[in-house]
Amino acid sequence: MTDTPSSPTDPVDDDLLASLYLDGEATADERAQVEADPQLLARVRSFEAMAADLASVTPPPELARLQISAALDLFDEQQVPSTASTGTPGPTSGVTSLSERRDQKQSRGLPTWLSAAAALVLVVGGLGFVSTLGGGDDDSAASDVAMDDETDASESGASRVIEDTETSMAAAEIASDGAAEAMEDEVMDDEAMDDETADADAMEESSSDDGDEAGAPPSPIPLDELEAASAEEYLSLLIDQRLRPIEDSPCAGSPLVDGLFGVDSFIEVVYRGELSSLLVQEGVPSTAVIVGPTCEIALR
Amino acid sequence: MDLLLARHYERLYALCRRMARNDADAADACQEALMAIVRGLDKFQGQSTFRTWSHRVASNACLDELRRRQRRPIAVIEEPETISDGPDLDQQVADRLTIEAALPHMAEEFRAPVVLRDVMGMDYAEIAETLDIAPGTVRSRISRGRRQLAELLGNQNAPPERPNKSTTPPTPSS
Repeated sequence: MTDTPSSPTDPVDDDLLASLYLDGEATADERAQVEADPQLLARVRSFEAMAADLASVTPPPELARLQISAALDLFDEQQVPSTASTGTPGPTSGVTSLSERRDQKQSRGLPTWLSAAAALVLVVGGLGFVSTLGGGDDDSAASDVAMDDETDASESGASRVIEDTETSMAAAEIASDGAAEAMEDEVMDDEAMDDETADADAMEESSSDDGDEAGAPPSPIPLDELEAASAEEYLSLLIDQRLRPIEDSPCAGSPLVDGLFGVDSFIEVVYRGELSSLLVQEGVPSTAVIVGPTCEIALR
Repeated sequence: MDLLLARHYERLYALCRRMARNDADAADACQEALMAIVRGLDKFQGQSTFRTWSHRVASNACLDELRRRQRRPIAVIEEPETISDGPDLDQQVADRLTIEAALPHMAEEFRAPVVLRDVMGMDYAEIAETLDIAPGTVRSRISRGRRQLAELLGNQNAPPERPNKSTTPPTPSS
């Protein structure tokens, strides 16, 4: 192709420098060069404005609805056989059939994120009285979970999973001992809430419903804040508001936040063994953050 | 999953719309992109973040679909010939219209990396992997693509030429 390097005095160099700078791909020397040159900075601003215009596209709302619906139908078709044939979750463990969840969603708009958050609180609270993790076994097991979701159910035995989308967590399974057991029914009741439109009114209405339930978190994340939050922000809020107790653990000051920022759109929370660890990972194992008394953290 | 897809939809649609020549092609490509994500979910190995993976899968699906369709003649939209020099209340709108008019004139080899960068937010390594080109090529294509786009836009946002580097005599700026 015509991707020949430009000569040092070629004006194209300015564009290359400006592009690299704008995209965060410039070296320190290149950044310094750009920042020392007003014309290069002006070029950067010019490219930045073009980039903003390029990204500014609003899809037709109806088209979005139709296309997402079609994709969900395909997702359901793919998920149902894998679970129906075996009676156990398919390869993407914790991902439950959306047909069921959508059916339930029609009759109940409960924000499952609250339930999941409550579960998180219990689990994290449980961390305080749970003895130190079983060292390498758990570490490796947890890593396995991050790498291979097939191990989720089998290794942890009683482990259950909460899967989360951005503003709604669908509790697929939760199993744990002790206090979390008391949460199970509630969380299972709250299961399957994909908030179709993330509508604030619906969320607030659901919030009041949730407040009637025993075991609800004492101070839920403000709904408006949650709605506006990305998944990463949501998780950050979750950490800030729910996992504060672990600040006393060896995890304090860990790269936990960085790991959570790597989590994208939905998470699974897996309780392993006797609440000895908390695994937060993407719906399909990827970025994983494992928090426990021994501060095991695995990031991918 | 619906929220997962919804969250990515706008960006995917923007990618497809910026790469496609018309709304219909963009819509079809976007649908393909969504389907590709769903189909590929169980193949996701967790070796990258879900966002990175899904964007790559969707981008490839979108670009593949558009390549299949782009064997037809380009229906070029006439771009405005004159843009007011002075401040204009409609300037933003004019700029946007001009970008839409300018994009079909960009070669895909430039347009794809620029759109993947500016719309999808991919870094150069991800773009290189998605387009199966060398990272160095990504660098040059993005910078050249942006330059080309700026020129197509009439360079109205560009700073004046640098006198010490310009190959042509400097023009006095007004």
